[in-house]
Amino acid sequence: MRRVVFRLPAEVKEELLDALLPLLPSGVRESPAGDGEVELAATAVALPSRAELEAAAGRPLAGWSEEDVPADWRARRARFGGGAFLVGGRVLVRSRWDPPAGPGVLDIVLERGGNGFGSGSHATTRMCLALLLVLEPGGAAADLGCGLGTLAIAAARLGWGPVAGVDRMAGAVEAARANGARNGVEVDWQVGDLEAGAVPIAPLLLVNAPPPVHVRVAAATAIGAIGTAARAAGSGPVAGPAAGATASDPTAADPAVARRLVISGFVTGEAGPVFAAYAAAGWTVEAQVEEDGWAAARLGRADA
Amino acid sequence: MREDVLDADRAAAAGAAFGQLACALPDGGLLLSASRLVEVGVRAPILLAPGLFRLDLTPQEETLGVLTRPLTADPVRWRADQSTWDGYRDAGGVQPLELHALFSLPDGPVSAWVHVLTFTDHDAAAVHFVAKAELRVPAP
Repeated sequence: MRRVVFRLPAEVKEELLDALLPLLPSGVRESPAGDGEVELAATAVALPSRAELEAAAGRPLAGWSEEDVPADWRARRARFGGGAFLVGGRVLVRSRWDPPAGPGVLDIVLERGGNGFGSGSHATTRMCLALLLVLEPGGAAADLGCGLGTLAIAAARLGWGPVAGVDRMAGAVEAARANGARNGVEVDWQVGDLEAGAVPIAPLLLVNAPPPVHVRVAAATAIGAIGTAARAAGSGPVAGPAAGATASDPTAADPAVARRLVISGFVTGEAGPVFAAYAAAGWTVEAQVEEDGWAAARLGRADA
Repeated sequence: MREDVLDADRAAAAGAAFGQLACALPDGGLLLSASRLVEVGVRAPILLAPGLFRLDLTPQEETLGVLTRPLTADPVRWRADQSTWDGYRDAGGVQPLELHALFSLPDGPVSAWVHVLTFTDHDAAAVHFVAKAELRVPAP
């Protein structure tokens, strides 16, 4: 197996790929190379020569290198990476086949399973992690729609605790539980339908889920959603019963306990109604980001 | 010109490197068909309609990068059926990604219907794509 690497100026990359891709049918891996350039790597048993590629591109190819590499993708992944996502320079989400994180970087190793979501390849996961990173850990957290457990694991590793993770898919929760063990964290993993069942409440809620879940989280965290009898700011159930509980229930979660929200899972066109639901529940937007058409935000309590 | 972009010989030659087939549709138009195995994280050309577009796909663990690269300066409008947006990630079945395009060429419009089936092989860290595009002169 052969691997060639070269760089193209980002501003003309697509035009040059029009000429190069027909010669590289196995495709290319793209990664930013700095200085306005993109690094492209192609791997195949047979590849065109540098001269052939440069002739097609009509220009020299900068940063050229070529070498023999193993056919097995795991061996190549271990050497070159390709399945890891660095967020904020502080957290690396990767498969077990990717090279480990460098010093000072939180290393989160995930295995997919159960159709769970959260490998880091999706913008919403990365944006939620970035919004989580700037928070000072302080108390319990709940990952609502936890998928593979990425956000819950990151929260636990960052110092939040106790941490709960909830997802409607039993297979995803099973995968999350295994991922939690893989990363040495204790998380209370639960199967639950957040669109219909109880919405756990914690000082920090991480909600990377579709809009209907946000509507229910907003309602469950609205001041007065359950009652004021048990309201005690700054403390409360980690992830106990909430929506659907009654004010007379001594185990009822206190919506005022929720102090911060990190939300995503909706595209920018869906953001308006989601933010409106949270605003009506007393939340204000502290930070808002977008990537690939997806939206994410960190919310705080207007009354905090 | 519409005659050129609907020419099967031209399309087959353009996509020969990645095994693309091309033939005329019985009721007029051009059918492009291709099957590819692409490693996760790799951007690969899947379909190539010379003078119209190239479809590049980049499979990730749970997302699919879709790029319809225009190969014409003439206006084109793409749309994807919302019902197919989550087809790639849904392990419940092999669901198609469907795209529709309308190219406004100087001598008249050409429509494209692109249909992609996916099958992920986690052990191989690769995704099988079976893709086809039907290019037609739309009815007036």
